[in-house]
Amino acid sequence: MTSILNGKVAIAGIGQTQFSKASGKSDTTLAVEAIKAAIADAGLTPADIHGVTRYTMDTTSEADVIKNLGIPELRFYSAVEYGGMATAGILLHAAMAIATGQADAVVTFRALNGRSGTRLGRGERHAAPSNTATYVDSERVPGGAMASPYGLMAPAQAMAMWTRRYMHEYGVSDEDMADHLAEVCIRQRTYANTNPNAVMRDIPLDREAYLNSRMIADPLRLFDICLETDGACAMVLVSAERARDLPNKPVYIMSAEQSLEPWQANNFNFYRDDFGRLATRASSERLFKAAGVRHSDIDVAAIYEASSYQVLATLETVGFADWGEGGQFYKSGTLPINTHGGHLSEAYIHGQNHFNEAVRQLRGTAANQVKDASIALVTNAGWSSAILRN
Amino acid sequence: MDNQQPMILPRRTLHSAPYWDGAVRGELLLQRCKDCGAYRHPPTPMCSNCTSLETEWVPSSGRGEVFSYTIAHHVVHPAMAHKVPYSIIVVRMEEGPYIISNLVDCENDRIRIGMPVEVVFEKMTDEVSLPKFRPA
Repeated sequence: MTSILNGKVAIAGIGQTQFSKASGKSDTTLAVEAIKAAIADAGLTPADIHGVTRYTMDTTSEADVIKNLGIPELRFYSAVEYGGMATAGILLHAAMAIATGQADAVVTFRALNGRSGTRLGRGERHAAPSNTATYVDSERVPGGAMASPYGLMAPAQAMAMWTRRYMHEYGVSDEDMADHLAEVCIRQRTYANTNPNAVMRDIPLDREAYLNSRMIADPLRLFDICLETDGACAMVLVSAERARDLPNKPVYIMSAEQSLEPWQANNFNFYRDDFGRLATRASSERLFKAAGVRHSDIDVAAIYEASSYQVLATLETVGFADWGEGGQFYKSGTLPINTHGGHLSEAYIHGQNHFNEAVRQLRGTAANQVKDASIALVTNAGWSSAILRN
Repeated sequence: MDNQQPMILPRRTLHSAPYWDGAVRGELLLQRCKDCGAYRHPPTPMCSNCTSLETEWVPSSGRGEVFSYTIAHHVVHPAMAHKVPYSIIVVRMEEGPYIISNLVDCENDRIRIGMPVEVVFEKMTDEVSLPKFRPA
């Protein structure tokens, strides 16, 4: 049985800012720029918007949004926790609000000065630098009291340990892992090279440059790690019925899922036996069942990656490949993935630039258009996923 | 004997204080459920195995094995500038729980998953010692 959500709600508008390393603008400026663009793209006005969903990590609140855009009243707002795990969460919350009649049109967004402001890849956000001692008390890993004193402060380091454990479990050598990861980094960079919005548009990457790049956290090299970007992305969701009267070809939500298991959020899957895997398959199984589609029906995927390893591991978690075989599946090229360049080479907008790309693919307007793409998957490791169709 | 290098130290919380207090005394303590006997770490108020709130702190054998590791080459915080490249390890303790730490007395290129390790304590200040591990 497919979900009661299936086909009820559509993405009618998308918007984004320029992606850069130094926007020179506040987070809120970026947020309202992207939201304004998304509302205009949907053919609506701010007065049509009744709801806002965002990340708890956003420094821009829904109160900031409505006072800037002149939205008269919100009847629904929510914020989703755990950084990138909110990728499809904010979409799911918005879709449920529309499907239940709580709101007619809902904006989703994420805005961050990820490079010129707070850098997610740095330890300073957990512990202020000091010449003597800095005390930390959070339970976060990386970054908290059980991690920072040992120098575990950045997502890349945690992902390196995922990768190392994965290599152990599936008998993958350093050379073979580098080969698999290089494939991801180079293919995504190649997409970015023909995407006018990509931060890395003009910078090619080949295997030699990949292999010669410095280790950040062994076995992950510089190019395995996502960008840090200043920018924002936004979407406007409305009922399917209403979307058909709006200017863009509607992109319908077939299913969306959130999943949270102990010691994942804020702990990067440490303290779990299945540490090298990102998640169990339960959420992804629900996702496909609710959409009523099979893996082979997916024409294009946008897979959240704070590191290249996450692309391969997600292919396994979501069920495209058997455990340990994500690298081979990726290499087969069966499924176009991160055709915008992804977080590695387009921009790091915390999952939301992946949604904008999926919408462009289903509208037929992507820079690297997959021919006749009609069903798209957006997922962060199966923790947070959606299946969309045109 | 405060170290002159910048450093990052744990602040005790209601949940973690016994763990860090034990480390100062040179003891690695783990939480154990008084009702079902399950060990757990990091510290939490409730046993996720049986929902009991009755907890005792018991000494660990201090022995375990490397479950995963990375060698950090990139300086992610000024306090780590003088330490790179350094190891970060996840240890699976004999009692079951996992502990994040550093491996000491071992060259970085000799670290392997599965290698047996034992706890040692690095005194940082009079109030804080960090449990670390060395090859056993």
